[in-house]
Amino acid sequence: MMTFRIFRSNMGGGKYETQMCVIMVEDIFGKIVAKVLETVLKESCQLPTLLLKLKGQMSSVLVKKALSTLINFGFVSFSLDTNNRTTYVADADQIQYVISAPRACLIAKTLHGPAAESICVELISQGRLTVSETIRRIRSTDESVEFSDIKHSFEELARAQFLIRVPAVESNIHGCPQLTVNFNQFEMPKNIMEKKEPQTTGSSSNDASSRKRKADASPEDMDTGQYWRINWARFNGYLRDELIVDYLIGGGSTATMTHLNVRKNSEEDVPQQDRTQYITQNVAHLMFKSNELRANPLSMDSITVSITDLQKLVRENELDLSKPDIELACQILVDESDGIVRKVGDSNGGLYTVDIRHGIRQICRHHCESLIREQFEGRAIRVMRLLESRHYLDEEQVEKLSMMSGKEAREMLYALVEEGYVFNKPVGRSNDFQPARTFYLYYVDLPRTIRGLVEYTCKLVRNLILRQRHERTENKALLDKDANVQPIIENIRASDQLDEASKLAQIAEVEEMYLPGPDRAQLNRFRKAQATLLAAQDQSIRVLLAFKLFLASGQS
Amino acid sequence: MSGKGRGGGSSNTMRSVANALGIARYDMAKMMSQQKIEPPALYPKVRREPVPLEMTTDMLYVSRLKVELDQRMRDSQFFIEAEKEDEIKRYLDKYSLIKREKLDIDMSQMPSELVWRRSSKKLSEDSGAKKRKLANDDSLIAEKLNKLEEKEGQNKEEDDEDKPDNDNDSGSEKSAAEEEENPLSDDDNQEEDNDYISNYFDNGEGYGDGGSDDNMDGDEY
Repeated sequence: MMTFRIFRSNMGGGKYETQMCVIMVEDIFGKIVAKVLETVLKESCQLPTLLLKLKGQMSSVLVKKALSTLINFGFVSFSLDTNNRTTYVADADQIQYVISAPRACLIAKTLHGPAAESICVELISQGRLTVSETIRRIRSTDESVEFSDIKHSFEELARAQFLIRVPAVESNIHGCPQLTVNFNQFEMPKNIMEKKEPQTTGSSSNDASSRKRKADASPEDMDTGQYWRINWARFNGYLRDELIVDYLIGGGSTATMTHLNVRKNSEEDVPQQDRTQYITQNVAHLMFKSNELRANPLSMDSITVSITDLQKLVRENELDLSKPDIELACQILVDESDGIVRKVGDSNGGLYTVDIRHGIRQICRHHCESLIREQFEGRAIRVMRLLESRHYLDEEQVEKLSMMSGKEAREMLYALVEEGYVFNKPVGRSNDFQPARTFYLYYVDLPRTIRGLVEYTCKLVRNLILRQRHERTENKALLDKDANVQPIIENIRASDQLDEASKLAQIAEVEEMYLPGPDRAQLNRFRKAQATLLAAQDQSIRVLLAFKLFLASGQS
Repeated sequence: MSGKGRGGGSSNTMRSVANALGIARYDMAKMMSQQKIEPPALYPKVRREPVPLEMTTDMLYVSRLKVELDQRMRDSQFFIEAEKEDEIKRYLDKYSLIKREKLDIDMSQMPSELVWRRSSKKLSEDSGAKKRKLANDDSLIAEKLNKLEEKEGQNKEEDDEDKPDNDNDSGSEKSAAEEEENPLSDDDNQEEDNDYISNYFDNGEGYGDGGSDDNMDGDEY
């Protein structure tokens, strides 16, 4: 089974995962790039092979462009094979970050402010950028942002390892760039401040002289060629911590981790009855914060913290928590977390450990159970839990232990087997497996169920994207109309001659003229549906992350 | 005897299988009659209503940002479309056209086989132009002409492949018209003409990315 799993992870995923990736890319880069991606996803290959496979469907220039785009965004990577040919490999996991991109922006914004968000937006939409280019792009859209602000946010993001440097090209062997391996991935280029001066003078001189190539302008940047990209593993690590905290505190789908920063400002008006909730929440966050910058953001190793460490963090984050508060919170977490948080010693005021593996497993179990509840009923969960605790059970045993009638128990078991939550294992008394002389033992195999659910979730996300695209094309005319009306309304709002009442009247008139009632209702319905579809995508990708982490942790 | 035994055995087996599965005899007959051959419904009715998604503020924010990001990606240089050559050109086309930047990726980070713009060739041409500037002798002209003619032939061949790409990038008919006019205007000057065409085809490869200007300068000596 172990070998099977390794094999699988190399292969990148099943049918629906591939389809999901292709649909995602098609949604943002168009059909051609998606076709190239699909071909590479199905089988890693060299350029000539790829050209051959796509012969007649598109020109070689388009294939090259598409491939370059995919490499630029990290969806495809390349390496030399033993015959010195450049081989292209698609990375399905990277592509899935298309969905979690807005979530990453939100995290950056709540942790490091709006400038950090715009940096993330730029990096996501361009794939990779140098620091100077990023700053220039942000300044071109919003003049009011200070250069130093952006630079500061960039530094912060890099220090928090949310951004990472793209390895530089060391040499070129057989036309395939070799990337440097040993370098500080989070080191900011030193010359950004110096860059600023030559950059402005450079651009003006360029304007004055006959227009030179764009490439001619960039040598002015001291950091040309030092590209940065989003460190998705780090964001995923953060999301993982968030998932576990969500599970521990039960804060629902709100971004609980970010409360740490929000609460800092509004500490005074925390109601007294929520005090316990507040301190447990914060202590849970601090436990994860203590281990925020780990070498591998997705490592499954347990986090161990002592009360003293927590006190130090409380002081660093200027939180209003005393030592008894922290101790109380730790006690609550130990009691209520199903063994995710455990006390392991008394040194340094008490040593606590957060069992990440166990946490992820519990989250997956939780999702499984909620699915069962949705598909069947509460009693199915009883059967499931029973099998989980007692392992292999016979039909009769299930019937007795779950206190159900024979028929009910049987039907329940068959339904669970059919949906892949429970499996059965025939144990024959004789070699011919004659039914009368065979025991059918039922058992739960969570990794196997989760593997099925990963595919199921991928299918779900794929369908969500397709549905959203369908809605978009259906309502394209309306959206275009709306796009025409908006500037007019903006103009009315901005005009000084009119007072408030007449402004509103005019806006209403314009709206009525361009978008009559039914159209507007339809537009609103579309907006709402779109928001729901996108939010569902966001949530599904979070669940998918939990499932994948669970499978990667290799526990059975 | 043995046959009888086997027969009895099989019916016994059948019954025991049915027993093991908890199916009574009359149920079996009912099930057989109910057997369906058609595949199950593509969208079966949901037995239980799914729990509605709770829209929190950050989920609203995420969805709104996602719409924006997606639109940005679709309008960006990375959205690659095939050129529609054979279609009828309509007046409204230019209004529905989304203006995209030209795809500009730092190719030093990519394997060299992916370079579609043949920038290396252009560089060698540039250095060639410089050489010509230095050696401006009459003796070299004949040789040069021959070389240029050869190059012209090559360029024409290679350009066939790149041409549609350029048309797509420049997008407007106006520039295409300009391209056609210019070679004609220089037609009377033989040497310049040759030189110009070879350079012009050079331009054609990377049309619009400023490299053309360099080559134009080269012409003026």
